[in-house]
Amino acid sequence: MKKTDHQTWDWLRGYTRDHGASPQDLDIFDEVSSRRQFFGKVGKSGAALALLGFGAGTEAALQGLFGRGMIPMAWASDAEGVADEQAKQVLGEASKEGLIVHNERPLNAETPPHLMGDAVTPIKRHFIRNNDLVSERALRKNPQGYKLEIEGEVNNPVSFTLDELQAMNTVTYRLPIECGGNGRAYFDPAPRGNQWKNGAIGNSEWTGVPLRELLNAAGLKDTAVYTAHYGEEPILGDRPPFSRGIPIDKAMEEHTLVAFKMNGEDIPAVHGYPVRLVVPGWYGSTSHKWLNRIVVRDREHDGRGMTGYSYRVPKYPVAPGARPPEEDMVVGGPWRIKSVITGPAADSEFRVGQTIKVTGQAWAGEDVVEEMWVSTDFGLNWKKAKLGRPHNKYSWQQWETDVKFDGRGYYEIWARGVDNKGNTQPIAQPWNPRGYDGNLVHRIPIMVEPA
Amino acid sequence: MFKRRHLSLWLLIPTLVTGWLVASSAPSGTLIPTAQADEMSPKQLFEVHCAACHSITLPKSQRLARHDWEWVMDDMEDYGMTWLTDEQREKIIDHLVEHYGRDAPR
Repeated sequence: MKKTDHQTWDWLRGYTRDHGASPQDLDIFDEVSSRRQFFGKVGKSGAALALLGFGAGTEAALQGLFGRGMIPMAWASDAEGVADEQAKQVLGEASKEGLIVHNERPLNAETPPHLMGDAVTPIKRHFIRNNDLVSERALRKNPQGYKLEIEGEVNNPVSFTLDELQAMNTVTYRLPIECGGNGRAYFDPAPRGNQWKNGAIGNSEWTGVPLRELLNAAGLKDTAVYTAHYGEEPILGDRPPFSRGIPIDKAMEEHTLVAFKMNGEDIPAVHGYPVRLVVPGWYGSTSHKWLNRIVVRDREHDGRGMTGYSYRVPKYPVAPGARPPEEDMVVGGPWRIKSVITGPAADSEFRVGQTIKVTGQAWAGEDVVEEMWVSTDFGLNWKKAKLGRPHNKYSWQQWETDVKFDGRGYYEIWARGVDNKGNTQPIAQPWNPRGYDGNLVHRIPIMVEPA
Repeated sequence: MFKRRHLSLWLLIPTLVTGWLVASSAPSGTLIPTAQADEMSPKQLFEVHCAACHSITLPKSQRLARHDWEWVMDDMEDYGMTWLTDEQREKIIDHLVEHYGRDAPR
């Protein structure tokens, strides 16, 4: 459908008028349509669009009329089973395979542990986290007119086109990006939000320019203490753009990248084409996708995702289920030590006496994993596993060991890492209101049958 | 005027305005009577208002206490949720607590 939102709105208004809408009804219509920006953005895809097969403005009009009770009943009853068009497009473009989709709009999907065994996460198996929609530029793969602006507490605000970024000295690192809510499903009571288990992490190979090169080009003022990140994504709802940031020291760390290649390819739409940040070891929400602006600030950022309870944790331990006052919440991150068992898969069956290879990954935010331990008796005894070194700072580390069972029954394989500071992973998850920093010991249930 | 419009939009019209056409032939000449909106079940209110912005697999995957669902609704209204009466809001919260409350089966 080629029509613009504007034309569709005008047509619908005329239609309502011609069919006897009262002046009061038209006032309501006008009020709703004045929020066209919101509805227009929302309307590029979604339940109604996919179900009815119509364009953006049409859906927008339907939404605007909810307050009047004008709801197509087919939509109301069938919305659940609808495959979102944008979700379908971006999943297809990245050839995603085997992910568990939590939500189609915004699209959120995680990788099951048994598909996380690669040293470098293939694009098809990298998890997906979105707060909003995928940018139009990314969907069209159109680099025309793209630029990244650096402004704020700098001496010379600068901007870079994609060509200019690609012409700079680039680096390539294997870097983990992990959603701050990864592990939320194991919190009790369950906090709100996507119920991520273990798979909201990927460790792909990212190519780009260290952010510090761009900040140095702009010249940081002495007042620079924090960054604020902005992207080209359309926002869901009527709210400010999603925007998080990091302390300036982290922004100047050499592995914090302005990336334009993922595993050697142009970044897929859903992962942030053409340019995204990669801030390894910190909540994934700091690794802004579709990045087009960084504002250097003289204080901690206060964008959407930095205040209230979002991506924030209490500054003291709280009882499970408690909601501390807002002023007692602080910005969360960096990530703590974590590990995942990538083999065997949950619910695998083995024979008594069979040698079972146990494999996994481990990572530790700003630190390094020094030891991996495995238990097959609910934590009574632990056996040290063979642990690889990180390919580069921050990259996850592969580990493996063999286990064997002398008798039949139900068993669990548990894995626990220890970092260079002696930190390990808990067996009971400390609680916070939104379910961040989950780093529980990973447990894989298996059955052992008589030989 | 319809010939200049895309066919799919034309096909939408029966779905969108069936009730409207009926209403427009009535003396009042209004859209759909507000009373009809209030007759929507809590489930329909939940699906229609929440799916306006996001797919509802997300709320359906939650198991939250009433105070948490109220917190979520507060935030969603701040985020520009489609307009609700107090009564509709309560119906949606009741529905969420009943089906996706802390003790609801997964």
